[in-house]
Amino acid sequence: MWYLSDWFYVVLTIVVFAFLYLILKGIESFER
Amino acid sequence: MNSTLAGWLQFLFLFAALAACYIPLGNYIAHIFTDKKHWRVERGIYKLTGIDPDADMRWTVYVRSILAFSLVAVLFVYLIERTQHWLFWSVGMANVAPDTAWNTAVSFTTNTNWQNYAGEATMGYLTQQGALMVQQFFSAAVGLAVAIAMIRGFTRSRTDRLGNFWVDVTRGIIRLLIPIAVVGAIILMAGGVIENLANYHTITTLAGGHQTIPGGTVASQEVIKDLGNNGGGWLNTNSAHPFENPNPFTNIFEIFLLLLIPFATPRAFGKMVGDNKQGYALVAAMVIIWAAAVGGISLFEAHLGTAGAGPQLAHGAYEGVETRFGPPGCSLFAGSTTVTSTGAVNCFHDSLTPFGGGIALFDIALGEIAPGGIGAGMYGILVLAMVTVFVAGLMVGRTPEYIGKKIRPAEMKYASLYFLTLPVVILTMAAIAIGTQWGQSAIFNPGPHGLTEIVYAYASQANNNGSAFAGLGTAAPFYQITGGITMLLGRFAPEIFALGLAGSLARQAPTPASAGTLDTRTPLFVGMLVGVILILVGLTYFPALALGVFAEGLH
Repeated sequence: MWYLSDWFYVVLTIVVFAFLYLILKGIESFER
Repeated sequence: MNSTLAGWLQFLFLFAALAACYIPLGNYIAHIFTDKKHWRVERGIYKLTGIDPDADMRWTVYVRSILAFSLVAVLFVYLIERTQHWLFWSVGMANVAPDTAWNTAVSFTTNTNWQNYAGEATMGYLTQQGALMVQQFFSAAVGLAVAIAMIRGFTRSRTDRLGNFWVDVTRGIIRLLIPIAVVGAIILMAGGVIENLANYHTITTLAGGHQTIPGGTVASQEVIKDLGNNGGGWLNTNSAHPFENPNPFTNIFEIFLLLLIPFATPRAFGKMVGDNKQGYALVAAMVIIWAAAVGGISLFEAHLGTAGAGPQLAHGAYEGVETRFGPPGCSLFAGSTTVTSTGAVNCFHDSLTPFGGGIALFDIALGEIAPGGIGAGMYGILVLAMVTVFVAGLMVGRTPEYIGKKIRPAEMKYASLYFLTLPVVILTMAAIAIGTQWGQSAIFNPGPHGLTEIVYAYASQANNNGSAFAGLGTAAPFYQITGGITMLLGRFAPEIFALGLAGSLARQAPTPASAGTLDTRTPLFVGMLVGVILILVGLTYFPALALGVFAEGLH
């Protein structure tokens, strides 16, 4: 059974990794 | 024999053993990552997973691979923890609660192994072996892969390619970690560490009470716990438990394991850049800081009039110390586990004397570079070596070059971002914890010690150490969530900047050494490097140390 908190942590994980990915994209655009 | 003397003899024995391994292991690591041939088993893995082992990655692709791999790993470990009761080998354990499951999944994926749970009362055998131990191999290999990619930034020129992440990780596991882990696990078992898949046994004690004796494949996890600078023990009390660390022999062997690869990696660096003296310079700086850390903690834990009447009468600060090892064994372990990113413990760090615990905190705040975590120590000290070269260039008018690469504004921006990330994350999170009711409500020791506990917790998590001043209620959801975010940012943001720096170096043409080049192989450079490291960290964390450690210690 999937609880609401499980979805919270899945989304939180994705959000933090998305933030890290944005850092990478920012550096890429800065390098260009 | 005097226990302090025994402690220093153990240190000298460790030093000799690590020195003996420095050249052969370092050369072997260099060979692993420069070998043109793939082993048959590796080719099988590449074929099975659809990897092109000959593809050379840009640094951005290398980073994407790390992030994708780690994202999947976090979600996989979380899933196993949340469903373990319905899976086999659960040993009757319930599904792990969501907040603890998430924090633990992040913790083991980031090589931190911060543990908000008691392993023997929370995790089934499948979770311990199939999720947590697997991540102990994977996360260590990821750290080493980043270090190797960073070194390629120096060895390559006019390219933006840093190697293949999947190949580096696979080779790190197959050729380095597994062989040493197999031998190490056998040695630990011979020393008395348990290894079984038996169910827990409930026994009746002589006093008529009942006690549950846990089992588990402890030896095989213990070895990668230390070798991979993970630190997450099978059992709650970690290396203070007799099933994980039964005697002084296993104790010294575990310390040896956690220092083995980080101290050998500078040799691999020297070998790969074609100048072994560069490796000697870096390892010398590491040894100086490690010896100072162990010596400092030993000094304060041996009391010397700083820890009150009790420790003086007992000839050492014995509170929270496992009597099989004593304060010297605790100090050697604590100094070694905090200068690496291991975080395994054989005594209670919260019970260290104020300045002894302060040194442990300072070690972690150094950024895990002496010798640091597996791989993480190498790329960390390389960034700081470049900062040192830059500072030296400003001071004495030398051209800022390191290993034939110029340190230009672009490289310095990456280096600055690298060493600013961790203090920003640690101090911001600590400030939020101190400034909110959520954070304050979990402080069991108000005052300077409580502040140190909070700073230690976030410093440990951001630097992927994992040891704790346990007098803080970090199982509260606030600390589970902020701790998890801290671990993710503390692990991957510096890796992004380190690889960006490596990519920038790799694009450069090599610069031949000239009369204006600072020789980075001399004792003078080693001294400057140590000085820059200590000043950078000392200035950054001085307010937190003054209000916590110094206020408590001088009270």
